[in-house]
Amino acid sequence: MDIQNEIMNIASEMNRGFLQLIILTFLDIPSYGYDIIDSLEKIGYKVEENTLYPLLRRLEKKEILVSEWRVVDNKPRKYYSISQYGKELRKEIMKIWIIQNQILQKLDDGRKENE
Amino acid sequence: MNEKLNEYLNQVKAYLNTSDNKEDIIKELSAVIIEKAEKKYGQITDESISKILSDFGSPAEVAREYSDEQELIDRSFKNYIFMLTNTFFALIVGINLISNVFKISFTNFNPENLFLSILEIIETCFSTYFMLFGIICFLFFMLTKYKIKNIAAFWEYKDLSNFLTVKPPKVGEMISKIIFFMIFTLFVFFGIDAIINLLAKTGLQVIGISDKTIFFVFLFVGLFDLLSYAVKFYRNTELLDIVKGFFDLIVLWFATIKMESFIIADISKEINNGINIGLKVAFIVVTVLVIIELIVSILRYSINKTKNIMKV
Repeated sequence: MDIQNEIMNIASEMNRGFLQLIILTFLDIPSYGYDIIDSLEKIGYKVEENTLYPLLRRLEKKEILVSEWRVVDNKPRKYYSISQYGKELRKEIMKIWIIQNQILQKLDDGRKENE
Repeated sequence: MNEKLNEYLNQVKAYLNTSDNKEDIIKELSAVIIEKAEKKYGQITDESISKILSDFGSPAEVAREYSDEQELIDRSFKNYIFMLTNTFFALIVGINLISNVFKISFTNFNPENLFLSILEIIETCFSTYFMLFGIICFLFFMLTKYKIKNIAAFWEYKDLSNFLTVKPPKVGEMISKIIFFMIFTLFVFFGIDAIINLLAKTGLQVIGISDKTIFFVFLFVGLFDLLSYAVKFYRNTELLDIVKGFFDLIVLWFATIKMESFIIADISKEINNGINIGLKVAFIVVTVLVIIELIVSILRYSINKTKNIMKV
C-alpha cells in the first residue's frame, strides 16, 4: 500500500473540518478571498482556491458567514466575515476540538508510557 | 475584460449546476483571478491570465466544486447521451430494416394486419430507444462515479467548422427536387401500368403488380423530404434533418413488412426475380443513405449544441 497516498487521504479528510474552523477563526475581521489565502500561507497553511471559494459560499449560504462587495483601489472584492450565528457555532466547535485534542493527547501519553 | 478570462468564465458558467447566484460566483472568480494575476505578475496580460488559469484547473473542475450535490451524471456528458442514443438507435433501426429485407429480422411483423404491424413498430422503437438510453446513462453514471470526467471529445482535436456549418437551402435544389418528385409521382401512378402494357405487347403475359406499396413508400419519403426542405427556407435547423431521418426510417421499415408480397404477376420467373432483387438493392441503398445522413445530422446537431453551451 502506498503510504504517501494514504497520508494524503487522511490529511484531506482531517483538513475538511479543520479548514472550516480556521475560516471561522480568521474571519473575525472582514477579509476577501485572495487575502485569506495569502495570510494563511504566511502562517504555513496552504489552501487551494478551488477549495476555499466554494467553501466560503457554502458557509455564507448556511448564514455562518456574511459577505459584501466593496470596491478597493478600483477593484471589486467580496469581503466575508463571521456572523453572530457563526460565532456561536465557532464557540461550540472549539470546545469539541479542545476535547478531541485532549483525548488524543492522553492516548498518546499512554502509548509513550507503554513503550 | 481579458478575452481568455472571459472565455474561461463563460465555460465555468455553462458547467455550473447550483441554486446559488451564478453571476455572483463568476464575478467573484473574475475578481480573484485578476487580483492574483496582478499581484503575482505585475500586470494583466494573456500570458499572466493563462498561468493563473492553469493553476485554477479546468472550467468543469472549478464548476464541480460549486455544485450543490453530487450529480448522477456529470453535466459535461449530457449532450453525449442524446448523441450516442440517437446514433445507436439509427444504426439498430437500419440494421433491422436491412435484415427485414432478407427475412432474417428479429422483429415479428404481421404483413396481413396493418394495425398490428404499426403497433409492433411503435413498440419496438420505444423499447429499443429506452433500452439504449438506459445503457448509455448507466455508462455515463459509471464514468461519473469513477471520476473519469474529462474525456476530450474528438472535435476538440480537429477543426470541424466545415462539417458543422448548416448549409442553407438552395432554390435550384428545391426546384430539382420538385421536378424529380413530379416525375416519380407520374411514374408511380401511370408509368408502372404503362410499362406493364408495353411488356404485354411484346408477348409476355403480364397481369400486373400485386402490391404497389413499395412505390408509395418511396413516394412518401420523397414527399417528406420535399416538405422538410421547404421548411428549411423558413427555419434551417439540423433538428429538422433528424426528424426527417427517423421518419424516413420508420416508413422504410413499414415497407419491409410489405416487401414479401411484392410480385409482378408475370409467368416469367426470371423477370420477377430480377425485379425483386433490383428493388431490394434499391431499398438497401436508400436505407443506407438515409442512415448515413441521419447519423451525420445527429452528430452535427449534438456537436453544435455542445459548442453553443460553451459559448453561453
